Amino acid sequence: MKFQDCRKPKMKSLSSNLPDWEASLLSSAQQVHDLSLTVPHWVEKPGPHSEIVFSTRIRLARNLAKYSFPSIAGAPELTNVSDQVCTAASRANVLAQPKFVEIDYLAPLDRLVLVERRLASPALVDRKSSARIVFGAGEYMSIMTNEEDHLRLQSFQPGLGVRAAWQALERLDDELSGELDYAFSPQFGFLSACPTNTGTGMRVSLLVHLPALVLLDEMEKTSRKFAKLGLTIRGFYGEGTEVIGNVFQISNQLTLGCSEDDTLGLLEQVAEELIQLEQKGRERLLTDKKLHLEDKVWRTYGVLRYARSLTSVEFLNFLSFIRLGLDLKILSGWPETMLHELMLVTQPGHMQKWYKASRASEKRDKLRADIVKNKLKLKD
Amino acid sequence: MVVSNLSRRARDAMQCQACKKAKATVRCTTVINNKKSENFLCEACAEKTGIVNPLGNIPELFGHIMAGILGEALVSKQVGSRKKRKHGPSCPACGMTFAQFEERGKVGCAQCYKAFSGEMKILLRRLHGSSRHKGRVPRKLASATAGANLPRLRRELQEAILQERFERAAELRNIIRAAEAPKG
Repeated sequence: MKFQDCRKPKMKSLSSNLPDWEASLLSSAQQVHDLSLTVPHWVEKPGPHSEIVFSTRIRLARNLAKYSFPSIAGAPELTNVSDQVCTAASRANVLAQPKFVEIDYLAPLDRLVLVERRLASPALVDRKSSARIVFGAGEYMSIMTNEEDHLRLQSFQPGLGVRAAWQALERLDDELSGELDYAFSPQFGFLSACPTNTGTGMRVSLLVHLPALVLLDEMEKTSRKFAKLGLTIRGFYGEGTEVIGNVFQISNQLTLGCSEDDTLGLLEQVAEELIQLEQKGRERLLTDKKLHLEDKVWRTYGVLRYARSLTSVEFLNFLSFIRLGLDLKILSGWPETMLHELMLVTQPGHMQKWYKASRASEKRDKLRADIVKNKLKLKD
Repeated sequence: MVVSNLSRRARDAMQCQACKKAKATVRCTTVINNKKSENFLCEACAEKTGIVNPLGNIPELFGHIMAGILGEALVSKQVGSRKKRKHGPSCPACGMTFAQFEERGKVGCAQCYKAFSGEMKILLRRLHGSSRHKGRVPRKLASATAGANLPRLRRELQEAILQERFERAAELRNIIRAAEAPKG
């Protein structure tokens, strides 16, 4: 009897009764392909102040106490970490039918798709082994395993949704920390691979569209002001100091000595201030430089209507003026969520998935011009 | 810290402040706690002190910036030369030395924070303006201390405050606060 009792679970695990998450890993490539043909729910929905704040993301850096951090740990150790995280995540109610993806099983195009959807960081998809992502329904929440830290939890919301994003993320963190042994010290807080994240491990990032402040040449002054508050503001697209499409990412720098609530409050307060500054700037443009502004918007419309080829940088820059034109009622007819969708599907990876675009950028630029014309119903 | 190259005119006028031989080509500006300090160095000395080309590799640069931030504090603490530290005390769990951490900008494991707690405190204070966590506590830890332990923890907190052991008091406050928080 005893002998039989011992063998039973082993036999079970050898058969097809794998835990759901492990079975899910086996179809990683298919899952990412299916995902790539949809739009994340948080992109489809308008959010508070979404005419200026495009989206909110909060991420938490977490590590497990008894394992070396990913930069020095060996593959078996990292697999063990990923397995533990997946087991805990599969029991987390807040994720609602989570999907599990092993980065190692993915082709380069599928990895690119995950980066474009912000489900994975560029660093994660470059990792050699034992990196996974877990994401919940609608892609509101996700987990990366074995990036710089063992866990990176993320929560997305449309518009200025700091509190909603935090409410969900806090629940996920609670559910996971009930199962996993987090690396934590009462003095330093949550311990991270990089000391810049130690403490709360929290980074709140807002994507903000500030065309008026750029046109009025006030961005430098504005970012200097925010640097003093412990915030970073930089171009979201493009590298270094280059700003594309007047979209900026504003995020907190400090994670120690301030509570999660302090950080959320700071970002909310600053976002509201930025919204006011931008709105005042737009009003000023409308009263002082109305003709100039209208000319800029309509010229952009003209170019999008007649262009035969659009690079992604050109497109993002044009789209900024289309959005501004819509917000200021110079143009009408397109919902903002459609523009967000357009921003998603005109990225190189998604274009290859949605429109079977070629990998050659020249052909892709031609296709991009057609997609934009079609989506915006611009007749040639 | 801002590293910038000097103009040709400035180069002719300035001498390296470290070796006092070569002409200075690099200006290194550091602002710590609102105190600005400027150093003019030649390329060789700049490299020796760990200042690199600002357009160079970013993780490496970050490591060097941290080394720069720490350098001052560590020299004053007489921890020893860079070379010595490479062979100096290492983390008992993962074997990383503090010099290795400086180079990479990342620690090897959670124990590193304990192994280098003195240096860490200085570094964290420079990076964040504080070395004391004020936020959430993991649920496991919070529930372990809940219930029967709470009265004892509160007593301990009172004692810590009376004895002016404020670091311990803050730790206890965090734990008690987490234990008292409603479970979601």
